[in-house]
Amino acid sequence: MMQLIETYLNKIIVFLVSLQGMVLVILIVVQVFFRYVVGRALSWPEEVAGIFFVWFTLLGVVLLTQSGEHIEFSFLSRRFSPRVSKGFTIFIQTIISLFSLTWVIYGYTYAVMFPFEKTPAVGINMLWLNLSMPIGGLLIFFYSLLSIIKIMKSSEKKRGSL
Amino acid sequence: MNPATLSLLLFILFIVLIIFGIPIGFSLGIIGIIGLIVMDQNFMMVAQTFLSGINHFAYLAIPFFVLLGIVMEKAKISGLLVDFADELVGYLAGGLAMGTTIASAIFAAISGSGPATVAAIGTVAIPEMVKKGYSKRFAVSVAASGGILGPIIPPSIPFIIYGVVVEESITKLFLGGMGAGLVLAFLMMVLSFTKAKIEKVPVSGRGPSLKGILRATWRAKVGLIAPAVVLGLIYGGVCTPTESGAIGSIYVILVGFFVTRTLTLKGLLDCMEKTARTSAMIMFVIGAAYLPAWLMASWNIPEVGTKFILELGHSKFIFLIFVNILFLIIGSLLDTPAAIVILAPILHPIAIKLGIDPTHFGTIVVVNFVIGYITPPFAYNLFVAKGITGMTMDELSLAVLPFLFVSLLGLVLITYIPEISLFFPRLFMG
Amino acid sequence: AQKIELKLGFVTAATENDPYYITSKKIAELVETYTKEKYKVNLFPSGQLGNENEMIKNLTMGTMDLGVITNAPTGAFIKSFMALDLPFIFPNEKVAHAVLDGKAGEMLLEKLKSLNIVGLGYSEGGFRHMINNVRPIKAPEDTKGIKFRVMTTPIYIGLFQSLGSNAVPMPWGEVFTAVQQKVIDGLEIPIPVIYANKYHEVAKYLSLTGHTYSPLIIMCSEQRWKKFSSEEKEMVKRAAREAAVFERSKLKDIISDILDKLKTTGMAINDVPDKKPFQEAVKPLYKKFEDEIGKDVLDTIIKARDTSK
Ligand code: NA
Ligand code: NA
Repeated sequence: MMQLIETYLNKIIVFLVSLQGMVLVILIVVQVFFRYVVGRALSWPEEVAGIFFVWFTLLGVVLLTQSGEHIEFSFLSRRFSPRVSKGFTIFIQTIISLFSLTWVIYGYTYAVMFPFEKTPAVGINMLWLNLSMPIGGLLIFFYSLLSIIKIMKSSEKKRGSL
Repeated sequence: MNPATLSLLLFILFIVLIIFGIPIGFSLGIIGIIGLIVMDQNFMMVAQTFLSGINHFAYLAIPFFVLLGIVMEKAKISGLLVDFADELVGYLAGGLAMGTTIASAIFAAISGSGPATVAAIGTVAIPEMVKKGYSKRFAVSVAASGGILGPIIPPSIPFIIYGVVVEESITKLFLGGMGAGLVLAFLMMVLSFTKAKIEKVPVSGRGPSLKGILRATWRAKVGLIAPAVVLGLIYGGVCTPTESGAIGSIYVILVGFFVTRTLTLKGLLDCMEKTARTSAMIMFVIGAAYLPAWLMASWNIPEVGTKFILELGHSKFIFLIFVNILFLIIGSLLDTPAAIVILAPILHPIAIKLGIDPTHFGTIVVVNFVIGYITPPFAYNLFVAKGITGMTMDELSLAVLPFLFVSLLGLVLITYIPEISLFFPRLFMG
Repeated sequence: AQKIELKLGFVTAATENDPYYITSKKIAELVETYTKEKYKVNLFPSGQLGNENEMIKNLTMGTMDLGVITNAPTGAFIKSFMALDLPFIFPNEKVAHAVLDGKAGEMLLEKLKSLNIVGLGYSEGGFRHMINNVRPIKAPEDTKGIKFRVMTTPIYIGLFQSLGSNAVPMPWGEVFTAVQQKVIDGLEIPIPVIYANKYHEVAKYLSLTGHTYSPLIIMCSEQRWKKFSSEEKEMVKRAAREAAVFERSKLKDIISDILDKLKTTGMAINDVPDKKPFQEAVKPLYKKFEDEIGKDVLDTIIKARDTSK
């Protein structure tokens, strides 16, 4: 069940970031085209791109957490016996999951503290941008929890490193 | 607690967390939260610093320049670049090695990242060099060190971060990296030439051929046009670096689809996913670094630091030595954009007060930072080289030493001869 | 006893002729004097604690104590402040001061309470003018086809669009190079900033359009405010008001001094004696933003202006 959720969730996130990447490129090209070729500068592409970019980044961080590809040192844990290493990984994932909770809680309180703030030019509500953090935090929490469960279940050590 | 002591303690904790294997972004977040607890500050700063930290339009250039490199590799353009460079200098002693450096430099003028440059050029050039009688150690060290040109020759991710953080023009900073990159490339080529003579690497025997050069140029045209597009748009006054990254991306995607025909829709989506991952790796660390940076600022560390250094004496010379040593130590411990986010606001004002040109100083910081890509234990470029060759980190670290040495020599030249970094900015912007 | 340290943030560099710095330094001095050095005010220039948007939030969250903040970003949180950014709303400094120091200004400061911020008063960045490389601006038609960099706020963008020129939003860090590289033709800017950033070296024409008056708002975090005794509150308020008066008179000298200097640089400077056509051209903007700003607020300000003329 968990596995099924993970597989589908993963597919959705990968699809979203790939799409966002394309949209970002297109938005910026449109911006240059209008300013340089048409001669009428637009102000919305930059602000819309800003929001996409923050989501693109946070969902990217979620993917990295899921696959264990973050920039990290791994030579210490590599030197341990599988048993110790397993405990170690659980310890690290626990810290990550606790940290992600601060994103959920304070990201949310921050987002709703300024509910009327708008982007300066187009007036898009900043909630669209700010909510990326609690949601990203929640997904990170889910994946780190999942990896703890997986490690507890599996007998052999399996963990990604750079 | 005294802010300076507190900062030091947090730094030590940061190192401990990293050694324990906590990813750098999370480690930065954790020490940031501890700082907030100690200073009794609002926890919402976690969200505020991260979100507004990454929400700079200029940072959008980072995924674009990552994407450019990835698509260029996928579109098999790097092989054409190596052939082109080989045709130019291949007949000399160490010719293919020098050609690898040239190809790296050209690739660097498209991609903003070091490891991407190693991956793209190294994958083609290392086996080629080994086939032509170079030792594996020689071959791998050329490719790994050529990779440091990636973030020095514009476009460049570290320059983007630096420009955003200290609010200097990225367009101008990029030009500072141009001179520095050319000097480093030249030194590396001299080293390859000398080393090839000493190690008696077989010389190809053929002479220079204009026809061959023209043919290789024609074949590599799509790859050679890419840097002209990216840099031409910026310096032709058409657009900002971020925008040129987007247009450059479209260019290479079109090339991949219609010219080299190596790209499919599925392939493009894969490139996008890879870009998202690589860019998130960098952006996570950048965003997370804004909280410690904010804490340092609110503890007045920049001002205290400025006073302290200026009281030691108004010597540019000594300050620059200090900066070089500091960044080399940090760079060898970890390659992290966080160093720029946290340290640049402290060091930049001092440099200005001492009368150092901001472009020159930015170049020094970035070159320093990037040399860290080949200094173990944490050496990004060597990780990539390890992936290509299967050599151990110990072997790689030793192999790359001569190139590390010339890079440091280059750093000294760049530090004490400001004209190297200022030549191109003056040429293009008066 | 140990001094209580207060954090005062602003976005510009701490240089002698900078309006934000002059205001901030004076506030610090006066607060320290009036409270007999019970408080020490530390200045955080150059946006060290964040850009203005972030600093406003810092004040709300209590992670910064005092701030000298431009009007425009304040308008992103409290729409009524957008009124002050409307082009040609004040004919000169004298009228602006009368309105802001009077009931209308007080009414706006009151609105900051919803952000948990206490508004203490207004100093100023002065009037903003246009510089460009195409032609001197004397009438709205002269701006046609010129690419002006603007701050990313709807009113600034609207101003240039209603004049018929091209508004290009761009982060401040890139602007100088962009003018130099001819990515844009010009920008709108206060006079001291032209000289401090050497814009006379890259832009040919300075047209004294005075299209926007730029107030700087002196703010205090409510979390800190609550901790002051009522006596101290008076002291801090007085410090802010006096700092504003001091800065305004100093800025007047600075501007005339800098204008003289600019004249010697070869920059072509022209007056815009007839502002009527400009005022006509931007009239739709007043209508457009009336609802967002609040009609009552706008009417109050305009009435205050007309009576103080
Ligand atoms: Na590059
Ligand atoms: Na390193």
